[in-house]
Amino acid sequence: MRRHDPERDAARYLGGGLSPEVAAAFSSHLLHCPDCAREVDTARQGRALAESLRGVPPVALRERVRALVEAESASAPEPPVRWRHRWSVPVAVSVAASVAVALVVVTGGSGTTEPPSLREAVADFRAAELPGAQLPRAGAPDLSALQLQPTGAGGGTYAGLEVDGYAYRDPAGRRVVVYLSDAPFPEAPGARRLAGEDGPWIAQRQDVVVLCARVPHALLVVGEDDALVRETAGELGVL
Amino acid sequence: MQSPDPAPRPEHRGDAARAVRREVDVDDRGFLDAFAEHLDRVHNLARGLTGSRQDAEDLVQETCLLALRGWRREPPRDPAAWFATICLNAARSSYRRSAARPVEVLADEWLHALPDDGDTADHALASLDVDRVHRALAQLPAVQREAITLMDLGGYSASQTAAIVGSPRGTVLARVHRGRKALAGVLVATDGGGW
Repeated sequence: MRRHDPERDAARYLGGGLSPEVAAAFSSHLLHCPDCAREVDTARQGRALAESLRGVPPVALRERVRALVEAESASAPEPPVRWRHRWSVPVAVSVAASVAVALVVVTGGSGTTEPPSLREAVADFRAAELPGAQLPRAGAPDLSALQLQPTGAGGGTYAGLEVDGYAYRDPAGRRVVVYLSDAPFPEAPGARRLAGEDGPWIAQRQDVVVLCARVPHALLVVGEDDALVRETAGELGVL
Repeated sequence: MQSPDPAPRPEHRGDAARAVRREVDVDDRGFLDAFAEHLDRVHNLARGLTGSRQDAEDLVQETCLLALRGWRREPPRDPAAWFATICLNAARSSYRRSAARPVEVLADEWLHALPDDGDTADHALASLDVDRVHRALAQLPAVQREAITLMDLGGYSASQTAAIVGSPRGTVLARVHRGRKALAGVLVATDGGGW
């Protein structure tokens, strides 16, 4: 080795790239060089601590990855088609009986009881959780026009209501989650209607905005940024 | 107030899931198998590069999507290194976007507070607090954190790590060595009752 430099020499020794002869010589050197021995011992302690952080991914993450790939794969053959077109048939059929569109603002005012499904959706959004680890029934809505990239998808239930959730982030890191269901989401008390007597409604729950519509799709859009939530709803064709 | 319709869906969710599975492209199935094989490693990288379990899971999923799109263009020759590169780049983009890069002031403090000769690796592990070590890792300079994450959590060699981060091997060894010493310094703070 070149000039004695305990830090450099210990780093090379632990890096495993030394020839057997050089490594053996350095091992002997450690017996009577406290500085080098200390460098090696300390770095080994740090390595043991770092290696102790290794873990196994949660089963739910493994399922979400699988769902993500399968959803992407299912939607890949028709890239130019916008989400609202791909979804218009199955979703519109499922809610054919519902003609009115409702958009409400959940104000969370005193004396009102928020429906459990909405409360769970908001709580999951805050916790960055999805409704469950089941496969969504279709690919993620295409929100690329808003520069929203999908970050996760999963299906489950909220208070007995079967829901598929699709999480997104924009380049600024703002999160939006779109929840889809075959059945309409319950209407929240104190919500602010945006259009029509039974039109879509929007709600502010502290730092979270919830926008709800029933037609052409039964959905919730939940996010932290009011404008982004509205833009998302617009992109999905409910505003 | 309207209540959700409790009636079961005409189509069982399991049927829908199977229908989706049938639509998975053969190439995407190859990708899914490869990604699943390396998921442990990608997840460990993500845990080392982010500040929380949820952020790590988001990063894994972002890595998966980015990798899938790249895979469709041309599958890589070395998927393990390729997934790591994508994960690292996505993490860098993420903390640039969020401006959440950890502060770096504590690392030097730890370097000046190395354990005494009497401290041993057994002593280190006996007092291990995983959350504390995670916080310590998060506060290392980014280049040290990345090097440690790739080598000690991801299990990549120094040469592989050098290729992934685009730095000379000697530079990577110096970074990982200093980062490990800084992590070991956490124990000093722990023993002293601080931090």
